[in-house]
Amino acid sequence: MRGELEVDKDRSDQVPENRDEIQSQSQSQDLDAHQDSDLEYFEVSCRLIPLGPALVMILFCLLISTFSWIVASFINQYLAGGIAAISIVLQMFLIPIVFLHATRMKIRLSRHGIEVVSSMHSSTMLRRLSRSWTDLHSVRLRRLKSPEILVNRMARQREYRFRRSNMAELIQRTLDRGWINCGFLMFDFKSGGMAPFPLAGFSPEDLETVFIALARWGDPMSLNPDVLALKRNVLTGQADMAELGGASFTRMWEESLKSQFEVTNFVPLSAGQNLQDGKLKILMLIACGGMSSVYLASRFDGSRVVVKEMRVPVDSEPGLADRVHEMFSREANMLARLDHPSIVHVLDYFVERGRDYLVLEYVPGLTLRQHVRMAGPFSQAETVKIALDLFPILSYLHGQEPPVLHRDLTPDNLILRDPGRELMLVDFGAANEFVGNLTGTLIGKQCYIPPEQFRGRAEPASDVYAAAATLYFLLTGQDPEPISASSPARVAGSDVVCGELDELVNLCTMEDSGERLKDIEEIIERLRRLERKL
Amino acid sequence: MKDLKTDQNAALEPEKDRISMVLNGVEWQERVLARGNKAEVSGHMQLGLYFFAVALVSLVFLVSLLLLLFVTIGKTGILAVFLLIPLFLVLVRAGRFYSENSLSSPANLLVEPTGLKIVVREPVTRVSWPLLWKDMESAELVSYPSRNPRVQDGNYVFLHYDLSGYSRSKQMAYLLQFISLAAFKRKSLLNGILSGRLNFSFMIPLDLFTLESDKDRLLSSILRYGKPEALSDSIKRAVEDHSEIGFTQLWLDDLHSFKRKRLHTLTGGTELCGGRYRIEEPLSAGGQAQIYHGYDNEENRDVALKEFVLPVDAGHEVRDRSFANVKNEALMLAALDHPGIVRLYDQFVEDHRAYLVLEFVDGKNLRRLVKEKGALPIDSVKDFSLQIARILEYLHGLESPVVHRDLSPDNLICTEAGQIKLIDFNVAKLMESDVTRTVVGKHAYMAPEQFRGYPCQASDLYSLGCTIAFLMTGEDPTPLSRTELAQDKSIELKELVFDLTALKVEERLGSARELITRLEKIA
Repeated sequence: MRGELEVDKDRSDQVPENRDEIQSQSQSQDLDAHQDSDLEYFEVSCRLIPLGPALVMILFCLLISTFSWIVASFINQYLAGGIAAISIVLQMFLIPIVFLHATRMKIRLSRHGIEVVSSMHSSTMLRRLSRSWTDLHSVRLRRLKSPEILVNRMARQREYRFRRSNMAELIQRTLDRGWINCGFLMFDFKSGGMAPFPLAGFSPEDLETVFIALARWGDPMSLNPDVLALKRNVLTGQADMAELGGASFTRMWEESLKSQFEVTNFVPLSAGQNLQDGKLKILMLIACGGMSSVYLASRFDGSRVVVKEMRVPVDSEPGLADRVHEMFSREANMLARLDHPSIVHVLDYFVERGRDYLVLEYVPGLTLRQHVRMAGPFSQAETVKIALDLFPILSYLHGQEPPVLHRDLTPDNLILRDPGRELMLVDFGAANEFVGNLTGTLIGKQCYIPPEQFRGRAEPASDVYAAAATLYFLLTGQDPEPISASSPARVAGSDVVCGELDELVNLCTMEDSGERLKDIEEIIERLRRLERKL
Repeated sequence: MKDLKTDQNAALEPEKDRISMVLNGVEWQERVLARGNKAEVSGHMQLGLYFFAVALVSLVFLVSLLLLLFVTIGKTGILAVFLLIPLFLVLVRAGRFYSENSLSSPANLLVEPTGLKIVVREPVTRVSWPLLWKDMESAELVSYPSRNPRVQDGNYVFLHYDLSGYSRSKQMAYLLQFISLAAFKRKSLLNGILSGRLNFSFMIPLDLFTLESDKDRLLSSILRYGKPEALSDSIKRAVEDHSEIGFTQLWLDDLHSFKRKRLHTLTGGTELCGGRYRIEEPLSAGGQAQIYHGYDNEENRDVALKEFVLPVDAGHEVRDRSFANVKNEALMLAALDHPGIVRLYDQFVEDHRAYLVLEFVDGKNLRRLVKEKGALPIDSVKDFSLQIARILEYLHGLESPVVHRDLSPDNLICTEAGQIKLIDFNVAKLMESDVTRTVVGKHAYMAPEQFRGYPCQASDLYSLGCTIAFLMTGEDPTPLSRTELAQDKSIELKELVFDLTALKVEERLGSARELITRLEKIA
């Protein structure tokens, strides 16, 4: 029961061209064999009504029908008794079954579009049994206060399979408490109409499947920013922010998105594509810009990882490409040898079709910049606590043989891991420097780069500069002035930032690396004193 | 540039004759209802509801009458029911007819060369009668407050229609259709109906279009199809504000917006823009764009295509905003006209990639030149420097001065004839700076104040000084430092470079004009 399928005439003209093009590109970096078969589809089911009210309605229907039969049997006494009994029993079976079937909608997602399997549900999609992907205008969320509600619910659903729950939880679960708070996923269609799907009606796997199908076949631009945030949460199985929700959360995500996606000189991978012969499956694009992009992917064992992809532009100079790959490989191996609880694990490095890939552990949580954007600058005490986590990382890095310089310490590379808010370093600037030398361009946040690093002579003191600049950002909520000693008290006020902390940041951000305070032990000692004081 | 403009207009022809726009119809009606105002009446008179109410009341009346009859006369009274049922049905039918014909919850707006149509999807798909362009008396853009606190204020397009030319019945039919979405003055409405000269304002809330491009499309269609005397200044201004140079194909892209057709760098032979441009080969890839050597089949010339891959996986807003950077470069280049600066011929978007069609400069960039030939002789250096200085003089001397911000040997091409051309304007903005964004620039040539986030005209001079040093020595200068050349070659040039690369802006050579004067003096 396919219903109407829209065929976009203009597109169908172009399809053969595309195929020819793919076939003729024997030498090119053919990234994907994304040949969807017509037969491939996902089937998900969505419950339209929460269980509690459903039970109530079923009961009500049963009562009504029982009553009506009783009345009927009174009128016609000969037929009463047997028939009434049989019919009542039949109804008690049929009504729940029909009811539950009617309210559980099966949806088929395939290359052709969204299809509702049984015609009983046609009204959800406004009298159309199936809608093609070209008809999808946008996908948005309605009445979902924060993704955390939904994600927690899904996490609990996953848990229930593995542990026994007590009576109260069981009742709550059956009655589907908190259903409405999970909001609706609204599909707006270009030809008119919308289809709302209650998010709580999907099982966790089905919801993931919906997102993956959307990413794979649907119009990539139809997802609104809030849906993207939800998608990310759903696909990683983690809620990004436990405490603050609502307007500031959405606003923060929208702003984050603005800086996360930029034009690139290559086409990033899309969801559903595989790397390493299927060992890595791309789930979604987290960020892209310039020469690199970052994805969320799942490994063969189902765990979520982050994949960084880089396409370093090389001109036709022979052998240069190989040298680039070799350089990255050495960097990756060096990073993989690092073992510190606050540094993200490097899981793998490989080259595929001319692009370099780095596989990292996925760290749930928001970056420091996102935290500040959402809730304002950190207090002194919090900053000192973060600093006490940050500088030991540096001393670990610099203590390696040979010393590892980070070179790109910024509030965007540090994450407060959920749920315990531990500091994690998630990105390395080592590659940036190499690429910088190769292409002659400087890549990095200029506010956090000290002069000597700019001149190409980075030293351990450069990382100290960057770390202190990050502290300045945390205290004031603003990025520091590039290449200058920063004083957070001047901006935030001396009541917010005490004199010693201000002096510490100032000393660590001295322009001349000779004057700078670079002994990390001493810095840590000072911080400990501050911590005791505050 | 004049040729360019007419070309763009021709490109406005949509591939299909009708343009369909999606809007939030439910909110539209809410807004109209909420706009109740003494001067202009929000025209939603729910006649249909009235009909139903009347029907209901009469039903109740009839039933009670029936019961009365039943009680008094007996079973024969029931026969009276059969007489009253048809009456009731007629009333119900009339009410339904009415409510069906008044357009509730419009889903799409169709723009056709003849007129405007509304499409409603619930409960059945209905297309309204067209509001013809020739009947449109005036079109205005009004910012209107709503009385209902739950409904936002908004921008509305008021299209005033004069239906005097139609028969009375047709006018009534029009009225019924659009009554829920129109605005009328009560008195004039009555007069209009009675005298057969009906006119009303059809209001379209602009904020309800989900896509910005739909808004643009509507406004441009009004401008394009409406009678010139009907267009008010407010509409014209709105279109001007929205329109950008070129990139109208973006709309067409949206119409067919979908997955990418091509996933990799384009190879030789690929045709773009409906066959107009042919890719010869990919040349190089910069930090944000891939450059191709292409051929323009229409103008029969070689071109350079600068390709930006737009991020599409994150929604419309992200794509449009990242696209804004490309637009900046196009706007910038389109405004420039100097033999030393590469010209922008055209721009288009295809398959989620934005292209700038630039003049193809056959030559080597200065870095390659120096790499092959070594440090250049003084005559060449002087010649090149003069050319570059003249380019800077032009840029800085514009009405809105342009600071290039990325002057380096990689961005300067030397043609066979020895002419220097400046390419790559991506970093240049009209004195805008964003210190927190990732810097992409040739650091050896970046002035200290530019690094700090305050680029100015003198920053270009610093970069030029570094470039001259590179030409003389064959090596990149030390970043963030004052360059001192060796004494042996030319003292004047050494002094010049020293003056240009002063770290403080005040100590640096002031303007390109000064530089030209000094260069000309050198033997």
